[in-house]
Amino acid sequence: MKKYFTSKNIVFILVIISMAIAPLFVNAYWLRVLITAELNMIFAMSLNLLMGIGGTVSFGHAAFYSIGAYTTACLYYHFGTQYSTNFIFVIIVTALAGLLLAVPMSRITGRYVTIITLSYAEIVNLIIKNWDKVTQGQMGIVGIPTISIFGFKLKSKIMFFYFALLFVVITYVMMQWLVKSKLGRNLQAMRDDPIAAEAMGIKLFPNKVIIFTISAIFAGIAGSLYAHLMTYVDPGTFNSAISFNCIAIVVLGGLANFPGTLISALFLSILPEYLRQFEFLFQYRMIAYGAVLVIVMWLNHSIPGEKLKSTVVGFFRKILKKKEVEEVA
Amino acid sequence: MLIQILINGFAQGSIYALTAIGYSLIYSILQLINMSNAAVFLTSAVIFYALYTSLTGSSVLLTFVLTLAAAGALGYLIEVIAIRPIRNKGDSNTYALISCIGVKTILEQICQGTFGSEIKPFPTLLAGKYINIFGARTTAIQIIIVVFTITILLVMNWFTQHNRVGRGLRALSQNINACHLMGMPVNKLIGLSFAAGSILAAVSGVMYCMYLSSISISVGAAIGNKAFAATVLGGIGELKGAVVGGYMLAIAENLVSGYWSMSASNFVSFAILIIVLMIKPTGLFGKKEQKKV
Repeated sequence: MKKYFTSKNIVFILVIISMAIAPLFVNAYWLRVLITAELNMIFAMSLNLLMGIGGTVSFGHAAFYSIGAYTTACLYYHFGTQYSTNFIFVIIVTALAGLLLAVPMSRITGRYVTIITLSYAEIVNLIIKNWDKVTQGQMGIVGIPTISIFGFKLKSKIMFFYFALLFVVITYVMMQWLVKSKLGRNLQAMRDDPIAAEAMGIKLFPNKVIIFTISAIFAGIAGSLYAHLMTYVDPGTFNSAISFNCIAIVVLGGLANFPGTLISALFLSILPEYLRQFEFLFQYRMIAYGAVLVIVMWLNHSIPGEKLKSTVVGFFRKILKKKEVEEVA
Repeated sequence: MLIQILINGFAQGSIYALTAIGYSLIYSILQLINMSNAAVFLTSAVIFYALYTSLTGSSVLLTFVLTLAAAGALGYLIEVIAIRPIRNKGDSNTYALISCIGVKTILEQICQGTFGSEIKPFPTLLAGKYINIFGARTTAIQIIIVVFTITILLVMNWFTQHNRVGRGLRALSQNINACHLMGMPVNKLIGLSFAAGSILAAVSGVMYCMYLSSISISVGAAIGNKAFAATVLGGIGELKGAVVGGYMLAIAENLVSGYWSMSASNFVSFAILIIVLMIKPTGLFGKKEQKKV
């Protein structure tokens, strides 16, 4: 049992519980914001796998998000298929897209990866903009229905909320499992010292390809949920700002720290909406958003970093330990 | 047709090259991709517009000088506020990057709030005047841009090679810690490099808007990514690489949009970049880095 009550998992369980009871207290508007936060959680966790575990800073993660969203939207638009079918295709298409991005990575390392991912995202966005027959170009695709799985429709937004929450949990569990698996250990060795890892017999390229593919799949899943949430997709939404926002979430939450990613995704999704109510006296709410990014970086602590771990988690550890002591007594 | 395309490409390439040098300069010193550069590009164009229409009584030269001064101050301020507190805490490249994204958000939002989102006419120099070069129509502003860019490049070259401050910047790009130990004013020099990068972005921002003779809130975004692509294409951290990369991308884009289609021209720069990096991963002029075990 103790194995599962690591400090990280406790934070994760707390976040999920508070998310699960949140719909009781919020109105429809804030419910929508929370759903967006959940999508950001999945999206940012997929990027954190790449950045934190794989050690690759991707500036183009919006590419996979948009591919996921557009795969769902196009399948619905052209064939009228339902979510359960689309889901499989989203996984296949985003996996292929991830593979395609991993190919140029065979020779390129470090900083050049950044620009390759950035250009990849630009190319994907341009293809979406100009491939009129499939993607409807600049007009976008409208009227995507809500999710229905094997005929069961998610009629209300609350059901959608819990469905997305389920995906958050699945993604988190998968990520934790991946980190502890052989692949995850290989990747962490590669991140810390590629030459030493290679000398120990870890093949760099296949591992890189796999991590890109897995990361792309989860980003694609978040994107497909986005398409169903918004009921429309257009190329203007998927610009590089989404990628930057995602990087901000990951860095704020801490690299390779998945519960931290959840908290910072929640924080950075709610903050711009929360600032909206001050618009009457402060017109430029996004300035405050930018200022928060700069100030948090000043502190040079990712929000749920070591401090939070030692306070909150230490507190729960103590409680658990006390119980154990009592049981023994 | 071909000569016309080449001339257009040269004018556009000058804009890319100037912005790219700004990226390259800061990257070579801090290994930081200065995301706020594209926002400075936009902000300085907006400052120029605001000064021109309200304060300086429609004198282009005076407005230009004031804008450059403002951009330089802005660059220094960005370094002091957003980069210095983080930089001095040691290894924190990703943190500085996020901080830059924060600055970019702030600047873009201020521009959007003060300027609005419509397209407005921008003052240009010698409007409507052009000369024929081998049958190609070359507007006065195109010639001004190319000449001005080449002058700036020569000045930059002299500055980094023969000037005391420039040599200091090159020393910083080799080893910051050694510079600290040698008693160089590292903080001042880094602030200066940010100011210089911002001034270059300001020059290209104002010139680009003059070239289009219009200004809108979205000018920064498109140029920013392409200038960054040009930097990497030439080999990041190499000034001449940034220039060559900028001209190459712009001419390739214009060739494609002239002979094939407009929408394909946007793909080209990124496709060229990926192909070049696959063949020579350090960019065209990049030096091979030795891996240390």
